[in-house]
Amino acid sequence: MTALAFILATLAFALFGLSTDEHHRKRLGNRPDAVTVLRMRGGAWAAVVAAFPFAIAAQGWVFGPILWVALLMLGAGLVFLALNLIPAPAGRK
Amino acid sequence: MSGRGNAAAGSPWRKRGDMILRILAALPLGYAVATLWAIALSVILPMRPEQATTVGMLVAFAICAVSAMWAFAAKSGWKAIWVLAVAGGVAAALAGVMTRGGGVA
Amino acid sequence: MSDLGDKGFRQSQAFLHTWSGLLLGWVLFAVFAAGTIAYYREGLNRWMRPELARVEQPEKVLAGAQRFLEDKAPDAKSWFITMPGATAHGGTAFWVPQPKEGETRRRRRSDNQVTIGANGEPATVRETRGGEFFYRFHFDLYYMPVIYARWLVSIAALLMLVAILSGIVTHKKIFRDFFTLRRSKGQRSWLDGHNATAVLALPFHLMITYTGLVTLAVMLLPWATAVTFPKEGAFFEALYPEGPAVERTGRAAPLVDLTAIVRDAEAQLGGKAGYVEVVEPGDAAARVTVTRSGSTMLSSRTPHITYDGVTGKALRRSPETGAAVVTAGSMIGLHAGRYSSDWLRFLYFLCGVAGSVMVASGMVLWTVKRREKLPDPARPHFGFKLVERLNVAAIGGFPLGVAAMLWANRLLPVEMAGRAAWEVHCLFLAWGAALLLSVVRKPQPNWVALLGLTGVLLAALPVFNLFGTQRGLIASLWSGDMMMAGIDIALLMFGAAFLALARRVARHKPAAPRVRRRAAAPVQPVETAQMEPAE
Repeated sequence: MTALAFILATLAFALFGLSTDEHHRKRLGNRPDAVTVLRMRGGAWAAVVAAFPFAIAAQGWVFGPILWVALLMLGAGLVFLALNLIPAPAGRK
Repeated sequence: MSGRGNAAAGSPWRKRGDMILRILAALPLGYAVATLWAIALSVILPMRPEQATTVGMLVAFAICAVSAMWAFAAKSGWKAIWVLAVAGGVAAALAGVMTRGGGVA
Repeated sequence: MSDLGDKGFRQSQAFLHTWSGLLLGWVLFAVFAAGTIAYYREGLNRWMRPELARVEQPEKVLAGAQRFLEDKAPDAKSWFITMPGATAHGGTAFWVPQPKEGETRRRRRSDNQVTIGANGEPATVRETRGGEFFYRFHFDLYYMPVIYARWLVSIAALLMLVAILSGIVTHKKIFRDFFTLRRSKGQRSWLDGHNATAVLALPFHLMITYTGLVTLAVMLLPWATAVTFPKEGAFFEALYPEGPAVERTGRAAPLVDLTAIVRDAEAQLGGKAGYVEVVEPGDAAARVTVTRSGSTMLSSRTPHITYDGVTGKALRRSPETGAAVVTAGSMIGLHAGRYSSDWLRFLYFLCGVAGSVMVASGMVLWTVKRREKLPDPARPHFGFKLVERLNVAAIGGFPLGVAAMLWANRLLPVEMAGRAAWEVHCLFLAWGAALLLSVVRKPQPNWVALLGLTGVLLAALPVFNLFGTQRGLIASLWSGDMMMAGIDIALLMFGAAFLALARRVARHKPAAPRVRRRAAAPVQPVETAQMEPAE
């Protein structure tokens, strides 16, 4: 349960990050158009929300929300580090 | 503080005065408004008095912080002060009405 | 400075953000750093007492405490025993002697206190404040009456809350900036670092600041009870009603076995015991109160059960608290994080590190930004010089002080009088030296010296542990003592990080001769700053 919530949280921020101009260009090669951005961010928010019930299932109603927020912060941090520190494929900038 | 001069803004003393008013509005006036609302909540809320007082205390810090933000967002230092004074006055009135009318402690 | 009222909302909040962050930023940095370290206060309690073995059986410690107290203080007014948790260094016990006629209440707790080791025997251990120092320091500070310290820390916390809220409001394009990290771009890199550490752990920063204020709410809002509970003490009496006071009868009666009582209490309370208080031990009217440990639930207001001290019968359980009080207790519990599992505690710690970096980078950012606007870089105005040098003293000095204190813990002679106080003096001596240095020398070589020295000192500690104590890293890993191993590893990593930082600063050369700056890259005039510079 916790693992699922964590995967969803990380996925959410990966989508948020890749929906930005800079990182989309760096990792996927082109500037994202408005529809793509909307889809990615919609998916990201859906993942954020979806992680919540898994966190509750893992730790109950008192500690579940804390777990949810903690996993979101952790996912965001990992995605931030990955997007900025893992070198982009050659030929892209 | 090095400044970008804005020629139309007025004399340095007016600016300084405006800043002082805003600082007074943020704290101590913000603190007073927060405390008054804590007191008001402690008598208004329909729960046992120690519970209501606790709620008042918990909310007070948010009120104080928002008051400080208002103090600097307001169009002028005087506006900052009088809006906060009204907010505090409403709280005091509520507390006064409830105490005299219902009787608490 | 143009009229604040002419600026837009975002600009006004940017101004507020800068100044609320800057005014007490140096206090905030020390408080934040100490609080972050305090998440491992129990581990440090152990680390700073390497003579003590790990506690494996808390019941053994409790039995040992009872034996000791019955021997040493059989007629005390009350005993107070702290049950050791999984990572504690031992059980602590103190006793309050019977009040004598005419004697004032000058209880010197240190005289009536003992540490019971894992084997149930009183432990001979070097006198040290251990990790508790960091916990206490982050709201009581030091060298001043606690009431002044708490008010100062509270005002700093309120300013921080204002800084966070105004920072959120003023930050345009939070999504676009969320993942931005421009490296080696001077002011913009500092801004990105400040934004990243602030936004990624934003829920934590908001929570920790607000709940920190809540822990001191009663002190900060004395008039909040003016209408509902005007009489002094009435508020506490209503919140936590006590049972009837215990009257000493004068008839001697043996105290029941505390271990049995604690077992029963743990079953009834639904969690491990945290404290055991015995009132009038050895008397027929003895009472034993067992309080549930704060590490077993979210709310810091844990329930307790009172037993008859002679028969062992349960007499009274603390009443259920109302929703508002549970909320307040949960907020305090969230702040302290005692309920947290190992990995969640580590996350708390990481967020705290992020917060400390956020505060530090914010203050450095201010000087980096201002330096560009200086009319004459060779002779900056007093305010700029003050902030620049205080930054060095606070951000470079406090970690150095911590490293110095840890070394003092290892090197000060065990029999030295006032040893615990002297460990702390060493922290402030090192910090004071850093302050002196920052006044005398230019900032850049100071940064290198302080950061570098801190790095060396921190990294050398685990090395010392290997040869100078029985609890070196290898021994800890071998025996599965992950707390001690973790602290040694953390010291190595932080040491390396400080050294890397020092090297980075040493390599930064001032750029174009026209404007003297610390960043390596020249000014990029085309890119606009993401947050409007505030006055």
